[in-house]
Amino acid sequence: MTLASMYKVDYVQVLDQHSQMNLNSSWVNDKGAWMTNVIIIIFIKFFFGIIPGITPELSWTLTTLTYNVGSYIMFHAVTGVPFELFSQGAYDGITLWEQIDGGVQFTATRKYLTTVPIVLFLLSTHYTHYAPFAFSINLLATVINLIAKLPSMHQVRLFDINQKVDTGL
Amino acid sequence: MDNPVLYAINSTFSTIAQSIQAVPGSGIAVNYIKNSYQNDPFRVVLELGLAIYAVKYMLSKKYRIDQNDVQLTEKEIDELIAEWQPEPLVQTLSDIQRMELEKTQVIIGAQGPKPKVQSSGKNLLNLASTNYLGYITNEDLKQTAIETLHKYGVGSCGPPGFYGTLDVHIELEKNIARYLGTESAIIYAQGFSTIASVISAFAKRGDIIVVDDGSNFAIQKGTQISRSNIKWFKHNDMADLERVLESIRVESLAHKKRPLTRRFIVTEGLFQNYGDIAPLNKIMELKHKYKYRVILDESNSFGVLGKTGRGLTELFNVPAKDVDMIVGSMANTLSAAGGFCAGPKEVVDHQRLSGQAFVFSASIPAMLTVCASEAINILSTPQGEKLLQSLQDNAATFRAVILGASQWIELSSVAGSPILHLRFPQAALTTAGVHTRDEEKMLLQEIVDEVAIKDGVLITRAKYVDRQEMHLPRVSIRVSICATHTKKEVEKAAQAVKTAFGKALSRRK
Amino acid sequence: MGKGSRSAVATSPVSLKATPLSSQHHAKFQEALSVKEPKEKLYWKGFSSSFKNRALFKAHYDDEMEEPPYFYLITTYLSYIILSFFGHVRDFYGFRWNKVAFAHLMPSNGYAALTSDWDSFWTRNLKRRIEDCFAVPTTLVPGRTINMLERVTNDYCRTFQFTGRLKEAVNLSSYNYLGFAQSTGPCADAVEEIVHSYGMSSCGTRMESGSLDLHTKTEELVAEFVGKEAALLVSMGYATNSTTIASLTSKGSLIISDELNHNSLVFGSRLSGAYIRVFKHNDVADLEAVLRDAISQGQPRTHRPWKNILLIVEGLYSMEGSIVKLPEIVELKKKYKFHLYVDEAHSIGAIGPRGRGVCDYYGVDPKHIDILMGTFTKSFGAAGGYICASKEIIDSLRLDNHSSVYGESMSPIILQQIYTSMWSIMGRDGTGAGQERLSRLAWNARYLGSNLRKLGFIIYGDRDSPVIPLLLFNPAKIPAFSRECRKRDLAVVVVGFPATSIVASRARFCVSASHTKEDLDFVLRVVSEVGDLLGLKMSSRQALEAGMEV
Repeated sequence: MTLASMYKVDYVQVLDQHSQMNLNSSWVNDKGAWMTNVIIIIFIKFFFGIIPGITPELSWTLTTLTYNVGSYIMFHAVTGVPFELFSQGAYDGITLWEQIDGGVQFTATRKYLTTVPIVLFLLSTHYTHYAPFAFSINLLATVINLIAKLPSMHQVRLFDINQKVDTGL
Repeated sequence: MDNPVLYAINSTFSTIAQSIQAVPGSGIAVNYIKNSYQNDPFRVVLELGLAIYAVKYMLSKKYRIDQNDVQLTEKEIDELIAEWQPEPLVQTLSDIQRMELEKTQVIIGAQGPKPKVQSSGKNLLNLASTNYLGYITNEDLKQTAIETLHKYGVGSCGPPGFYGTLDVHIELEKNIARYLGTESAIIYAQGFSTIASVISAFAKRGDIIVVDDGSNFAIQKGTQISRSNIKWFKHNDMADLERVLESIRVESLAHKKRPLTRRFIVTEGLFQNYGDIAPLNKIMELKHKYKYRVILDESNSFGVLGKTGRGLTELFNVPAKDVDMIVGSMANTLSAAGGFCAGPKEVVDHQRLSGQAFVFSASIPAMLTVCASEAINILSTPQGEKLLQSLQDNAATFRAVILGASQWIELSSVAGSPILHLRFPQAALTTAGVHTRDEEKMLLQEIVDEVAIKDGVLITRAKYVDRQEMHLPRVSIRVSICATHTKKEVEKAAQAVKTAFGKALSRRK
Repeated sequence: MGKGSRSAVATSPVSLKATPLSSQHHAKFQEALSVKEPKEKLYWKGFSSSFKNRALFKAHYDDEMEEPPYFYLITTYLSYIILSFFGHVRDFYGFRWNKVAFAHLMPSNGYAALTSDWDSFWTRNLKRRIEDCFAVPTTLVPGRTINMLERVTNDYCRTFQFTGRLKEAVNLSSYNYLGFAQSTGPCADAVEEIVHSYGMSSCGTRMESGSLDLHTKTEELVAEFVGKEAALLVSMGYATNSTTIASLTSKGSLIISDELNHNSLVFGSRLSGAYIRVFKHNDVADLEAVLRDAISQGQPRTHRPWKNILLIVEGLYSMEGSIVKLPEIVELKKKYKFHLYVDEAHSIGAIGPRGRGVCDYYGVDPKHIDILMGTFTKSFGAAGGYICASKEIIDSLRLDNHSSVYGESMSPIILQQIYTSMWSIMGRDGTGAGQERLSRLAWNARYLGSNLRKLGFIIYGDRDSPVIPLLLFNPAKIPAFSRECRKRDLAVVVVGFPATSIVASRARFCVSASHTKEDLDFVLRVVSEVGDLLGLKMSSRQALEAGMEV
């Protein structure tokens, strides 16, 4: 097991990736996708808000946590394409975040998706009145989510998670 | 306030504070910071840090991780564009390529056992077409075709995934499955494109394909497009196949953590490039031993080998259900068009969504479908068995004559194969001073021309896209036997070919 | 004509079943073209799809694909999130307690799973559940109407049983643009003749022994029709692309491809080993940016100049209905010296005043295009495809194209169908029937497209396109639209993610010259009713469209 290693993509795989539109990631740039992101956050907050016995502080913390965990799974944990792209697995082992915009960094969508968790964190710490426990949970979730989005983490695999197994062939 | 310096600092500070307050919305921010301070400077720094990071991220410029672009000015780019000169799409043809084009026979009128060729205007005895059972002239098939035409028209005008699936397609699929004894089957619109689609529907990146290196071009392209790990084994060499399988097994033992990948053995029933037959029984043994799936290309053997033409599985008495995928062509023996893949239901269903040539192509015209289906039905009748027997007899007759000249004709085909590849033995070529592939091509072309003009026999060289073949076979003449020729005709043609081979060689000596 | 069709729909909803559709007497209808209409009804007379014509009736917003209100987009995204959630739940239970149905997705007995479960996630959880809308089995001629074999399912589309009944519906699903899918008439007569004289097959590859005089004759006609020096016929449309590109480009070449190019082009490009880059769909500015970058930077890593650059575009995009911006691309070609490959699979025969594809449509000389590819499956009611180019390129392709060397050659019956239909389109049969078909198609396409726009649907694509995509957006509307239309005797194709982008699920209408105005009015009534039912009239351009002429 290695602490950190690069996920290697060969020439042919890059060629296959470039050969057509990646419908798995292109939608993040479509109209309505950004707004849906906000609406989902509002839904989550609303959902936790109406459960009896959950204080506003807890509901904010849970919202941040759910959003960060959810978006982490969606963008950084799941790899590949969940349908037949007719590219022989050109995106196997590549997370959705790495697929977005063909891997170009600092595009509008990346900026948006990076800013949302920060704003959500600032909001939720504010509304939880800086209770130390809630603060640390929110911070941890947000920071992990942000680290995964760093350009320097592009195709870097920590602890061999999602790493390609060397076939030796 | 008597210190002017202090005063200046203070007033600047208050001016800044006032101007911040003047910015709309600043009240909220100031309030937020006041609130969030809560005697914890550490936390404020953290939050400020995050906010600054967000701003910094927002202001960063786009770039590609893997780029090594040279920074160029617009003027430099324009210059580079003006300077760039592309090569033409195709190279000018060489003399030998011109010859190949010009010497390709064009048939006037119908294809058949004795078609009329354009070059001489004469009717030649056809030993070049895939009309193995003589279906092309079958009047019953023609009648069926016309009936279909009046019901369905010609084209199907749509891909099978939408409204292009006709009832006759479904019937043909069932017919093929029933005839071969598999669970189900799927039909493609072109025989050649079938196997590449089948291979690439299942074998993906990281999977392993073990392929016979004598396989035809379609298989090679299928393995190439699949992007899998390709391992070649020596043509029809079972010991070598076992060696390859064993080495993969050992390799995977060394990598215990490696997930189980899909593994395939791909080979051809009756080899188009050699005319010999894959030892299916032995391959099945190895398949079961090493847990591989077998993709068998029966494009040439379907409707030809076996007592009732069921192909290799019948010849070796292997249940067709055990072979994972049987791919065949309806364009060869059946004299229709298209290809098929027969196998278990999951295999077929997966291709309906993932077989690229199936999904993205219009379905095969109804007339050709019905003809293929009828042709299969004929195979199971006594008439069909008679045709198959006659094909075997004719092949044996031809073979016997050719074997009589083994010093100057090398025959890679096995007994029972209606495809005969005739080559000069390497030694004979060396003594004749023929060294290059092009010279060999010329030599064989002389033979083709000679038997056409002198003996009225139509044969052809086997053609290849030389620069794209992965294991380019040696130049050869491919003779395809037809069941409807008489024994006498075949014998005469074989004699003519034999003599022409000898003469061509002696001319060079 | 065409104006106020909405009010017409509103006032006469009862006449929904007015168009006679006698279920079994197909033969009576398939020859729609032979039934002459009274003179005053010849709307289509002299109508043609051409660039000049388009310029007259073009709206300023035509090049932008319309986006729906946020409500539809957000509900679409939410629908997919919910579908995805249920998909995971289904998988979770399936893998544990329904092992029989999931057997091929799991390793067993030392074999790896036959197919990857993640690769088929959407297929299993979206498409398979609405399987009744796809691969609809049909019979008889896919002409003006189509006969579907009625089938029922008792297990949520896992299996189907045929009831033995036929259901006839107006056919907006087949690529029968010029109405040559016929079982009687000149084409069928000629094909019958050829079955007698030539048989069904040519039994061999083009390079070995499968070349017939009929091939040569048809190739000459096709070359003349398209306006190039020479032509090469391939027995399958898909293979025409997938087996040709590898013979034109190789490692060191660059292929620039429209992002929505057909799979056959992508397949061929990937087979060639050339480097591939895509540009935004039909976006000439983006194409130029890609060209400038590619030529100035050269090959990746080494910066060596490219051997050559092949730009691959389609004439008419069959999912978008957009026509390639050919004049602009030809302008770029002069500056950037790339080679141009135009796939006219859908446009040949279907657009242009003489039916000769995009070049004809724009009045661009075909000599500016290096390779013109097309298929015969669509407008000609046949099968297979062609490559048209200079003699030099075609000669080289005869030796190098995989289908030409290894694949079966085209069947004589197909050749004859192509020959006769093309002969008719060229007007050589002296009846003017070909020109009539072209005019009718052009008018029909305009009529249906503009009236759908007027009804308030969001329609993509060009106004002259015979392929008319109607946007549905929400995934639940995909099966609903298909089922409701079929219930009302209208056969339409519906397409959803991942064949289109996630939001842009659509229904696709393929207009044919065999449709009469009554057919199209019937279609408009049905679609309008279904559109009201499903809330599809969401276009913000309706008011602007109201004043548009057909």
